[in-house]
Amino acid sequence: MSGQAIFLLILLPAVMAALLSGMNAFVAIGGVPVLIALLASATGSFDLALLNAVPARLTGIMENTVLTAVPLFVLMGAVLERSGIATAMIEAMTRAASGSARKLSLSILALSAILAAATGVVGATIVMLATIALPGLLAAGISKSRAAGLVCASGTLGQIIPPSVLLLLLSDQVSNAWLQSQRQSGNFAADPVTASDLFAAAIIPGLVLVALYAIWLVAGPVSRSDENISANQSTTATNPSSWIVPMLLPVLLVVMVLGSILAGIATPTEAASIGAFGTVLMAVLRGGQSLWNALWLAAIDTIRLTGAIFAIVIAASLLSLVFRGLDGDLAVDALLLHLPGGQIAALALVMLVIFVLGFFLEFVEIIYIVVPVAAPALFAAGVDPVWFAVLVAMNLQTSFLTPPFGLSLFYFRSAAPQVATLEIWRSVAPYILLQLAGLALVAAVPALATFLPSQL
Amino acid sequence: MTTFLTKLAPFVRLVRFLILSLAFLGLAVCLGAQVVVVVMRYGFSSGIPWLSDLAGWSFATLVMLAIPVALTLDGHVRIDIFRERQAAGARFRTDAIATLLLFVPMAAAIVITCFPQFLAAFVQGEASSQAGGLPGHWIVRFLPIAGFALAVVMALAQLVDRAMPHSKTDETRK
Repeated sequence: MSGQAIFLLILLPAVMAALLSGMNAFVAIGGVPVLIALLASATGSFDLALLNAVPARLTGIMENTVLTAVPLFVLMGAVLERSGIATAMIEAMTRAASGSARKLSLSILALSAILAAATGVVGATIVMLATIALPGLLAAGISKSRAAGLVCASGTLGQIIPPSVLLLLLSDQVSNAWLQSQRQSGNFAADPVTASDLFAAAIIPGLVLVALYAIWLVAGPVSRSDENISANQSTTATNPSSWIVPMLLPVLLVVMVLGSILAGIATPTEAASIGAFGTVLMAVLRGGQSLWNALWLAAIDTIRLTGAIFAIVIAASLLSLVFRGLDGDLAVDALLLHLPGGQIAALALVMLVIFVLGFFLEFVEIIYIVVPVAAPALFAAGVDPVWFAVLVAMNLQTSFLTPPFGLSLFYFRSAAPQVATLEIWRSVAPYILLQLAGLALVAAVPALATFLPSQL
Repeated sequence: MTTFLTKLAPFVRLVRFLILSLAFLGLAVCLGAQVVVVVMRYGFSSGIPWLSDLAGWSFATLVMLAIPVALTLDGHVRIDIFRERQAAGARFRTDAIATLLLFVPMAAAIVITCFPQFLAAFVQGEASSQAGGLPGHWIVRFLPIAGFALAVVMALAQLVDRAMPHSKTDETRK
C-alpha cells in the first residue's frame, strides 16, 4: 500500500476521533487534515503546495453573494425569537385551539410550518415550542410523549421548508459539484443549480412531510388521555381576531420573502435582507422596554451562530483540499461508479452514509464533507442534482430527530427537563418513520422535487 | 510569569470587545447596505456598485470576526456526548491538545497561505473588480489573516485563563 493510501485511510477516522473527543468541531475538521498533510509531506506523500488553494477557497466563501443570506436569515429568526413576536404567535395559536387535543396538535403543526419558513434555524423554534406550547399541549390532555414528538418533529421543518439555512448551504455545495462534474464531461455551458431552484424544489416535499405529520396526528392511535379532553376542558370560544392579529404581519413577511425568491424577482440574499429588516421593524413597532436589549441579544446570537457555521465551512474546505491531495476523490469515484447496481445503488449508499453520519454530525459538517466528495460521481452517473439535493435535505432533516445526537432532542430536553430522555426518544420514533416514508416518496417520484424548479 | 499574564488580562478583554464591536458593525452594515441596494434596484432601477461591495465586504468582516467571537463565547459546535461526562480537568486537556496540536497549525496554514495574496493586493492597491466599486480590496484579503490570528490569540488566552489557579471560568457548553 502506498504512503498516500495509508494517510488517506487514517484521515477520516482521525477526524471522527477528534470530533468525538469534544473539542471544537471545526478544529477537528480543519486541524486534523492540516496535521496529516504536514506528516504526509514529510514522508513525500503530499504536496504542501496544494494548500496554496486555501486563499481562493476562502475568497470563494467570503465573497459568495448567496452565502450572505445565511446571517440575514439567522438574524430574522433571532429577532422573531428575542423580540417576543414568535412567542405571541405561539400563545395566540395555543389559546385559539385550546380544548381540542387534535385541533391544538394540528395548529401547532401549522404554526411550526410558518415559523419554519420564517426562521430556518431548528434550535430556536424547538425551544420556543417546548417552553410556550408544551404546557398548553399537556393541559389539553395530550400525553407527554406525544407532545414531545410533535414539538421535536415540527421544529425540524425549518430545515426543509424554504427559505432555510440548510438549503442555502446545500445549494452552494451542490452547484459546485454539479458544475465540476459537467466540466469534467466536457459541458462548459451547464445550467447552474441555484439556491432559488432548491427553495422551489423543497416546497412540495416539505408540504408532503407536513401532510404526513397531519395524517398521523388525525389518524394515528389515540392514547386514553387524549380522548378525555372534551370532558375535562370546555371549549372556549375565542374571538378570531385574537389569534389572527399576531399572525398577520409575520405571515405576510414570510409570504413576501419566499414569494419574491420563487417568483424570480429577488435573489435569496436580497429577500433575506428585506426579511431581516422587516422583522427588526416589526420588533421596533412592537416596542417594549427591553427592545434594544432584545435586538442586541439577537445580534449576538446571529454573530455566534454565523461564526459557528462558517468556521465549519472553512474547516471543511481544508479537509476537502487535503482529501483531494491524497487522491481521496478518485477513490470515492472509483467506489461509487463501480458499485454493482449502478446509479441507484450509489445513490442509496450515499444516502445511507449521510443518514448514519447524521447520528453523529451536524448538517453543516455533513454538507461540506460528503457533498463535495460524493456528489460529482453521482452527477456523472446521471443523478439529477436538484432531486439529489432534496433527498439530502430530507435525510439531514431526519438526522435532527435520530437519537442519541439529534439536535432537536437536545434542544427539547434543555427546554423541557420534565420529559425524560428515553421518553423523548420513544416519542420521535413515529416521526422518524414518517420522515423516511417522505424520503422514500420523493425518491420514488422525483417529480415531487423537480416539478416546481422546472416551472421557474 | 503569572503576574505578567494577569497584566495581559485587560488587554485581552479590550481585544475581545473590539472584535465583537467590529463583527456587530459588519452585521449592521451588511444588513443596511443590502437593504438600500434592494430599494435602489427595485424602487429606482439603479445599481450602486460601491454599496454592493460594502454589503459584501461587511459580510466578509462579519464571517471572519465571528469566528474568534464565537470562540470567546464558547459558541462553536462540539460533539459533547463524552465531554458532558468529563471532569473539568479532562476537558481542559482536550482543549489544550486541540488548540496547540491542531488549531495552531490550521490557523498557521491559513495565515501563511493568505499572506502573499494580501501583500500583493496591498502593494498593487487592488480595488473592487466592479467598475465604480470600492477601493482597498486588500482589506478583504487581510480578513482571514486577522480572523484566524485573533482566534488563536483568543484560544490561547482562554487556555491560560483556565490554567490559572484562581480561574472561575470553566468553559463548558450548556
